Amino acid sequence: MGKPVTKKSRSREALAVLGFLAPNLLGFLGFTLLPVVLSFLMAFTNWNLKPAVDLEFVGLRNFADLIGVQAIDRPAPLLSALYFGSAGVLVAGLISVLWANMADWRGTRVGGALIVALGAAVLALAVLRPRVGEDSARAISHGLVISGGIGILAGLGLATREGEGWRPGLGTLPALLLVAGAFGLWMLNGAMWGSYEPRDARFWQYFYNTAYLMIGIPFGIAGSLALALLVNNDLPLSGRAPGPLLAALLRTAAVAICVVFGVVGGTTVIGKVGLASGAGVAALCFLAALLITVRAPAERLGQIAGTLLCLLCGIVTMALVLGMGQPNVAVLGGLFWLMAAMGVAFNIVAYRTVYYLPTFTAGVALMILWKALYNPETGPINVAIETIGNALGRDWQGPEWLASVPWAKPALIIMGVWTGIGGTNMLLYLAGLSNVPTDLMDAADVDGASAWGKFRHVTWPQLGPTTFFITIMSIIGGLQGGFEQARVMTGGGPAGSTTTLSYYIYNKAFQDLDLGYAAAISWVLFAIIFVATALNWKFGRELEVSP
Amino acid sequence: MKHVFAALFALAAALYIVAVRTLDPPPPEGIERIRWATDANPTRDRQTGLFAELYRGLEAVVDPGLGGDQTKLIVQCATGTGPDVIDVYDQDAMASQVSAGILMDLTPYAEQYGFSVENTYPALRDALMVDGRQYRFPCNVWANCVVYNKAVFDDHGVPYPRDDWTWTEWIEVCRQLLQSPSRAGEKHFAFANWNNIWWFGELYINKGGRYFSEDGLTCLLDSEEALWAIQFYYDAIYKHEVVPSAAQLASLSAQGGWGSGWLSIFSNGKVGMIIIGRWYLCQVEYFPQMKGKLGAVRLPHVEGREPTGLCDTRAAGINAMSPHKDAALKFLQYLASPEYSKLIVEDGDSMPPNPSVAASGEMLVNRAEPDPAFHQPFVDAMEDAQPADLSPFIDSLVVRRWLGEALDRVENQVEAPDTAFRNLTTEINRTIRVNLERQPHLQRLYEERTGRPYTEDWWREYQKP
Repeated sequence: MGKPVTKKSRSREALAVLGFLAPNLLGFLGFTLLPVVLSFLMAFTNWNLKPAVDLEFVGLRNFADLIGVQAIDRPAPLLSALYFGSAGVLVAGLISVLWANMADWRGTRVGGALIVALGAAVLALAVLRPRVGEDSARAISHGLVISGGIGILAGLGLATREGEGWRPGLGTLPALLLVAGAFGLWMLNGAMWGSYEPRDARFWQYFYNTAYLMIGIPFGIAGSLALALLVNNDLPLSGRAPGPLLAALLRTAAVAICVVFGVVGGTTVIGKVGLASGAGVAALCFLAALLITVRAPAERLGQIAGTLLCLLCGIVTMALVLGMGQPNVAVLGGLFWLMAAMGVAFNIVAYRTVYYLPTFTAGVALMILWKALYNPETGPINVAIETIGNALGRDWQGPEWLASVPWAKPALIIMGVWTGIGGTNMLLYLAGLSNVPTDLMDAADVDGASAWGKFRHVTWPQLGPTTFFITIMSIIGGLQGGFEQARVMTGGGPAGSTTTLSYYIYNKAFQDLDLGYAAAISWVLFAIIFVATALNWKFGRELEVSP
Repeated sequence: MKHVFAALFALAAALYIVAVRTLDPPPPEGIERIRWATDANPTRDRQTGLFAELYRGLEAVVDPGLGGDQTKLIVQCATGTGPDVIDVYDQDAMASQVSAGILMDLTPYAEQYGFSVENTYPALRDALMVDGRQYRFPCNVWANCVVYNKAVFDDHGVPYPRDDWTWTEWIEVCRQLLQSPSRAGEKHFAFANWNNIWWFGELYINKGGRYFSEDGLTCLLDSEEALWAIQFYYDAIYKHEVVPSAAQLASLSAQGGWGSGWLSIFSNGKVGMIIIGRWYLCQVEYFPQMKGKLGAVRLPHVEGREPTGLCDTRAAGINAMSPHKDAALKFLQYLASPEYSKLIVEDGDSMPPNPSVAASGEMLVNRAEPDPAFHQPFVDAMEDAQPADLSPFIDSLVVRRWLGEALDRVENQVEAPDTAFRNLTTEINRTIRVNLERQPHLQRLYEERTGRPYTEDWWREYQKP
């Protein structure tokens, strides 16, 4: 029998628990809660590090400066009321469309068709509107193209719903609100921005930059899912007995020797001698492996054949490429076959490890590496584009990437997608895939479902909760991100095109020394993230499939 | 579990001991040490060594980690861990740091210690002072000239540039460099636009422009002179195509900081001309192939106008919260000494603070460049150079950042030159209005400068809407 639980022993236990948690609690209070509360209070003051500026409470002034508008000459209150009213109607339409979809309101198909028409009109407007060199006009065009595209896709999704007729109903109302709001904005846009201007135009530019950089998120998520599907199962090789493993390792060593000598010597005599020596060693390894595998059981022949193939292809590739005087490409070739050899030796674990490498590599180091890759003159990306162009008889010039306003953001998006696809999202999807019930897949097989059918009707719905979580975290990360890239790679340029809201907060706080305003920006960013997360939570959870 | 905690505690204690052992050792007995936040120029070792020789009992240690990083400096000074002596690279940064309360007012000590504004170039007076108070003293002084690579000119068979040339002639020289074939079969740039704000500033000042009105209440970057300067800048890149944009040049360089990539590009003989100060000579030690190949001439001037240009100074100020103020004041005294100035001359670290050791090209001859003709243009340039004007009603670093962004937009053809600068001027003027509206001390300054009481619609007389 255990000791009786007395009040004293319970208090002692509680004290022990508190003592254990105290450092964590104190840390949370001191380094999280207190700064958050302070920053909230700061947002309502003019706190500035300049001693000449006295601290005073300014109410909502920082927020008004941030998101408000001001008259260029004389105010036009009716115009601004109608304009913002139209914006409000548009937002109400957007939210009610989501609601109508979730609640299966009647008339949603008709609403979807209306939204398709609206999206097509917006897209046509973006294509046909006069081109002006100004960044704001370009931003608007991009925004219209994206909005139009999303409208068409979303509308099609609604219009092709099954089990509903083409009669209007309550579900048509949201689409009408969208059309009304969009029409109002279109009609009043010129007059509004001729009479008013944003108080902080940079905030809207940097908000646009932040949203633009999030374009990579769906590609990153899709890429992570594709990668997870690819690396979910072992390679179709035979067992991993020490014999074939040793053989694969020997071949890997031979490949590596060839690479080293080839790189060091290039097309010189040393290189050729080295290559020949490497080939000789490889041949010895081949013989040794052959001897080992002669005694191996028959079912391991697939793996052995794979390693032999890697070896032969690697040697031939490097010999040919070195002979053409391309040591860099020879290294690439050698690495490729090295990866193949590792895959044969360690199966899928090798690839999962390699794909995950960017995630635990220091971020700044990766950014410096990508900055070198994006060098317009000597960077491997542009060199490859020009080389391929030359090979095809064309004069291809790569873009200026980080030095160019139109290409700086796409460059960062590409880097972000590359970093993200093999990262934590891939691991989450791998975990999700392992939870897909096998009996559902068996049932689909029995029903004769194709691979795409199994993915669409079994795998994808089962991954709903994972996708939901990844989407929320990616959106939060996307809205908060962009600071490191701006700080390390671009300085926020060129022409402010890669400055995000987080970098703007930093500049305002530590370069302009305007801490109160910077705090206000951070709380507006928090509100944006909160709304996005809340919408996602409310309307995205229907993806979840009950067990 | 307690064994795990004990082991972790022991590990943390061991790591702490290791970390403590890696800290800088304290100064020897009887030596007072000051920390000097400056760049990692190799000549600093000689400069601090001479200081220690001349001032027994004092030692200056270089802190290159701040390297002109305003934000790091402010945070360190605000937390009481800032350096004692701070290099302030230009007057924009000085004005900003003064308003942030970082720099100590040197005026009460300047004459006593011999580092007043009278002890250096008269042209720098405004660059060392804010509202009539002195906050720094020069470590070195710069006025730009055109430094050219004689080997590049010889390779293309183009005559060397000469003094008293115009910007139109400069375009022609660039064009000749680009169009004449290279005898060695190499590719060269005619001109390296490595600092777009400087180059624009030289064009603008030479045209007779000012950044702000005399009272500082109105930005003048939409004036006729400014629009001429930015249009010339734009045409040089896109119409005459003789200059790569700063962004293109930045993309060619590996990284910034001392020894930046753009210096390597010029020092590797890939560029014909560059606008730079005499401090380029510090690089010659690392690029011996440039010895004997350098020439310098005054900056081109606008037709019908006298040559003039910008000047400024990398000057040292004292941290207002430094616990070693006396030692820091002696360091500034050392900067004003002839011994220090001679060291600057010898090292080629731009122009010395003491004009008496830099009165002619012959006096500036050093081992990096023994030809007096190279140094003379820098002496001449200091005589009619002027610092850029500032406004106390808006943070100078903010103006510089916005000016850089406007130049970026023009270079990247995001906005037309005149549109970009009109928008820039509107934004600066609006910010001046807002600052005046919200900061009472600026309203008092307004009244002092204009002699009129401050009213909310004051700007209608001064600025366009």
